[in-house]
Amino acid sequence: MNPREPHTHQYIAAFAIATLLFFSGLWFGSYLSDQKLESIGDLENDIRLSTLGSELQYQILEQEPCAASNSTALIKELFEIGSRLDFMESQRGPKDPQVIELKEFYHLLEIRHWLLMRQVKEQCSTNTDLILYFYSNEGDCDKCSEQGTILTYLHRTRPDISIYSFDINIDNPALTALKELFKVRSTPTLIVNDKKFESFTSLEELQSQLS
Amino acid sequence: MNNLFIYIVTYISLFLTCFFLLTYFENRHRLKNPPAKKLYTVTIAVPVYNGAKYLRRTVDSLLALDYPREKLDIIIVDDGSTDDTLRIAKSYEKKGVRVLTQKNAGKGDALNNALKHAKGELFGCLDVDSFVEPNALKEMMGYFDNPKVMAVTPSLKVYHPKTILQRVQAIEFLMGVYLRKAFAFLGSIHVTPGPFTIYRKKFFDKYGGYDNHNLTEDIEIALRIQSHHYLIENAINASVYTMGVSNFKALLRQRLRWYKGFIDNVLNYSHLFSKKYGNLGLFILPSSFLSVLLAVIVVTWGTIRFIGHSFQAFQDLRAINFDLLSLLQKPQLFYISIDPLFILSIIAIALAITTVLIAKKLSQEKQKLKISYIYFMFTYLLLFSFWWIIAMYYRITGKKIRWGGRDL
Repeated sequence: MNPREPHTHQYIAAFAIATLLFFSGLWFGSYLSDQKLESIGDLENDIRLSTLGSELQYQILEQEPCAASNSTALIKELFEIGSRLDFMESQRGPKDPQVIELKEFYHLLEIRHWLLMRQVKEQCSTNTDLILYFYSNEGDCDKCSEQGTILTYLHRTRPDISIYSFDINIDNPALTALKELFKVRSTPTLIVNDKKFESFTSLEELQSQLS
Repeated sequence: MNNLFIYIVTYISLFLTCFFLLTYFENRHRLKNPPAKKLYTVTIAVPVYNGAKYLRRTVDSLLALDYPREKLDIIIVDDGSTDDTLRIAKSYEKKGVRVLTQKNAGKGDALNNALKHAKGELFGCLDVDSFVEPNALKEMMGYFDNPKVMAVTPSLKVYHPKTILQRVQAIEFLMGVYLRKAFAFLGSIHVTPGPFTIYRKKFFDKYGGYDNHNLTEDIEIALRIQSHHYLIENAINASVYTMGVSNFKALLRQRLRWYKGFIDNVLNYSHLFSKKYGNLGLFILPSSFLSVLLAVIVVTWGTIRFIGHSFQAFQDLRAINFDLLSLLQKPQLFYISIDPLFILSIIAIALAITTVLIAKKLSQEKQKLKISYIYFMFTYLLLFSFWWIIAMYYRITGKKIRWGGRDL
């Protein structure tokens, strides 16, 4: 038999095996990726419980409300979730519905924590620095990457600062209210201790605003 | 370009790998070379230009072939060397080796010169930077009992790779060993390596000798054989060793010649892209071109992306006065990218390693190549695409390459 003659069954078998391998790989990769997302969900639940605990502690200890103000560990955890969500977003894309859902919940946790910290700051007259950072990752913010790196750097070098980052494209009533409160119209926007910076803010300028 | 394109490329790679593995599986009973019913008379030409350094080893390996000496005709063609080549060549005359001399005119001319004087029913050549294993010729003979077979290719491997580039070539050549056998099973060998491919001499008598105006005369012969509907076989355990090119510039020059030669020849024989030529026309040649095209696109896209990311990373680091240490944190398993593409890449790498291991086993290769796999994995696609881009540039712009004393 002429070896040049195409063996149709061989082409079909190769197609079947390649398809099987391809979809098995896709399924297994997605499964592992989903497991990672689930771990972020678990972390978020832990934070939710911790924040709720802090709020309750704050309400119970009416005589000494400032005892609830030490929440550096919580801020660290929040930041860790933010980093993990960023990583998952880079892996699965900004339009991944599961990532968006987790980010929405994450933003609610951040707002809730920020409100608590602001209340503590006012009533206990502490010098805690609070930074709100509004960014966009839809390709319309050239300077957001640099701004994000500066804030990560600040977080690593000054863990006492509370930094909350928000994706302005997330559609959520609480985030909309926050954006309206500070009239956020562009990215990057920073609210440093209630003072607004509507464009890229350098490390030096940021440091000069901190206590 | 988004991930969809990468998934398509991955799928095509998986399909091709599975197809070739299945080809092996289907033909496993034909892996052994057919026993030789007849030992043909064979002329082996050694074209040499300033090859004094390696000539002795090359000719000695031919003289050490496990083959009846009276059926073996060895011709050294000195292509106008200016070093000690001719003197060394002449020293072999007392051992029955014939020596021809000519003005420097290139390898193709030297081979045609040897063809004119060849006494054998079969004809082959051995480059001066190569040498053969003693069993090589005998292992190839059985295939010539089929009158449709016009050429038999050996397994070409890199001898004792030392530099990174030689190690990369060692794995590349083993992949070539694997693919050439698969192509043989499909009747689709379209490159007959210069060193020690043995041809039936009557093919040259009937259809002319080597095309000495060709950048890759071995590819031209292979395509000419295919276009006349003859067969080319492969004896996977007939080992020929060559010295890998050790420096980047020389390797680029070699690949430029090979790849531009491949493009030129395939375009000259474009009629082979037809169902008349079965697997070769319908699948092997188109998939060769598709693989090159996809590799070039993926690497170009990856390089542009890498440059973009590097620039952004530089900007980011500049914003924090390059205080990189403060950004570092304990490595965490979480940040290792495990997604579908990662899993598919693992599958593809596992299959690629399998193919090299098969080639290593079947060609009875004993050299240790563990480190070479690592160099290969990290550099080959980049090098391969780079060579092809330059070759395409030369082809599109019509730039010439100097080869055999001519601009081709």
